[in-house]
Amino acid sequence: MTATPMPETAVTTPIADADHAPEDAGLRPGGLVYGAPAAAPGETMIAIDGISKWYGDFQVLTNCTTKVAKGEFVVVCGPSGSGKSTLIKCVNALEPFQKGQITVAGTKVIDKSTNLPKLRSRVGMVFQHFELFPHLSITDNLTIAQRKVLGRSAEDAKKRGLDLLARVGLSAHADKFPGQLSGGQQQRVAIARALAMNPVVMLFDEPTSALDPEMVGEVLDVMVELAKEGMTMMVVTHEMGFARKVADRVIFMDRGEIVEDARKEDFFGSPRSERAQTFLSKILQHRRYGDPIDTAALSQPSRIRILPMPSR
Amino acid sequence: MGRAIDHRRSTTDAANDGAHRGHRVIQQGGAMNYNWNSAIFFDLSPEGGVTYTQTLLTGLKWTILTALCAWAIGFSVGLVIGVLRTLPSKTANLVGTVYVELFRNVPLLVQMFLWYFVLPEVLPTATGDWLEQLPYAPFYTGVLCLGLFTASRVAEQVRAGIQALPRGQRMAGTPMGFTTAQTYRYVLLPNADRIILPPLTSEFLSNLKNTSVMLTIGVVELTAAARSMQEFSFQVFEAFTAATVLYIIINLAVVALATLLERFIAIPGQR
Ligand SMILES: Nc1ncnc2c1ncn2[C@@H]1O[C@H](COP(=O)(O)OP(=O)(O)OP(=O)(O)O)[C@@H](O)[C@H]1O
Ligand SMILES: [Mg+2]
Repeated sequence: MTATPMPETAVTTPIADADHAPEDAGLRPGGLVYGAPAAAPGETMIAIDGISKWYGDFQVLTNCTTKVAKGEFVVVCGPSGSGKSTLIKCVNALEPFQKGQITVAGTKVIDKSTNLPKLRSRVGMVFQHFELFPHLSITDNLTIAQRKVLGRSAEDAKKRGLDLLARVGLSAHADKFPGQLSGGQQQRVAIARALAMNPVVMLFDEPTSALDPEMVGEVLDVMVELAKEGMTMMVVTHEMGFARKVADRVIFMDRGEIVEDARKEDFFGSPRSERAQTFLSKILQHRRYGDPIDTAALSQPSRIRILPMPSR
Repeated sequence: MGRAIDHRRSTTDAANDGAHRGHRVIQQGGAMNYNWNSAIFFDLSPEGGVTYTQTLLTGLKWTILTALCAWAIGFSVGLVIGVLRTLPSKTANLVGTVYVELFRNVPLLVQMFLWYFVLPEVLPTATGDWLEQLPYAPFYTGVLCLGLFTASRVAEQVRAGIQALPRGQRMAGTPMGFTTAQTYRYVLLPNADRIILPPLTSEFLSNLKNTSVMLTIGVVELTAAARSMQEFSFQVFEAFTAATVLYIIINLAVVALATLLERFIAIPGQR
């Protein structure tokens, strides 16, 4: 991979490119507007404000409140069934919720005047099972939403798509179909596909859980690079080694509640709640059988070469 | 033999006024001493100086034309109805369900009579008269009737195909910013279509064979042509053997085309 020089065009396209997309008209005043004055660091990108959600009588989420600042990398963890997936699906309104409000880059999710497809198009989402469009080539997977949702020309969409494909190290696979790629490769394409939309935040729901162990690293590498470039990210993951390495903050959920919302150092150093302590000790017990993720490897240079952000 | 055929005679078969002649002859001769006559295909039929072969081929032409027109209606209406049944809207589901249950639970023959004989009566007189006087009225009515019937069956295949897609795939378009319509257009339907091609091929074959019901309202398609040949020439075996062979040939051609199409739209890398 590193032997072949990257195509020159790649240099001009940072992987996280929230502020650059001149052709977009924006959602509505104050919303996800391209070309608006760049948000100051520390500005809130996602505000989750007291949301509750029920499936019939069963309460999945109970009064969840948290904030994700621009450029922040927040890991969401917790036992199975605690509502992690549900919470991040509420952020782009994939799941409706009955109480509370979520605001993404100034746009309220529950609001009649909000254009939900438009909002979703600017919130990148990566799933456990990749969910590429199986009937489309990799190039078409990367371009279809750019063309049909953002209205970009086929040429622009393709250029952006192929740049990003190069950035995740898969240029050689542009003409293949998802079924012809490995899980790790498909997940990298899925990340590139989300990035092609110039998202203002990226949501990940257990992006490496469906991968064979040897492919986990290549996907985490891409995410680390993305974080370095300042992308705002909310990541549900069980990879605690990875969380410990790259997260800014950790949200711990249990039974639909946000039990702990702490800086990474505090969470791994001295979790306050008993439930978080139990959860962590269970995860650490795992390590007796060998840490599934080599945390030391994360400090090594990426195996996938991702070009540095161009200086502006 | 003769009795059985007599029994199957449609009382509404106005296409052939020579019917009773065929009837009489069959009653005289039994199947055992039947006289097969291949040359009959080149004899002139009493209808306007064409050979029986031409009679049959003209029938085949109408069968194919009817099948294609009915399929155009059946496929497009069926697609819409099938999609309606998978939408989140309760009203849409209801409309789709009512349509399907109505059209697939009434025998096609009854539907044919309803459209052709009953509809003009219940419409305002002027409209009814206009309908009855339309040139090719039986053809248009038959195509519409068969098309709407086929639509109910196509709709069920479309619904099954969409619901067979993994839930994740159904949701994959939404976070990209696709509207519901775009999700169907660009993700769900292209994938569902590939799943339902084999059952749709069966539906197309049924649709093609169902065109024979139109003989009851006076469309001289292949079956009616064979019957006409039988009744003018008294050669029942030749007439229906020819019809059978023509039906089989054309259906096999459809199957072959569908197999080619299936190969053409197969997705690389999928099992
Ligand atoms: N459509 C649904 N209808 C009813 N209950 C649901 C539905 N989806 C999820 N649930 C329930 O909501 C709870 C939270 O589910 P969720 O998928 O958010 O958990 P999770 O934290 O992501 O778990 P995991 O780590 O296993 O992915 C679970 O108890 C689940 O059974
Ligand atoms: Mg989950």
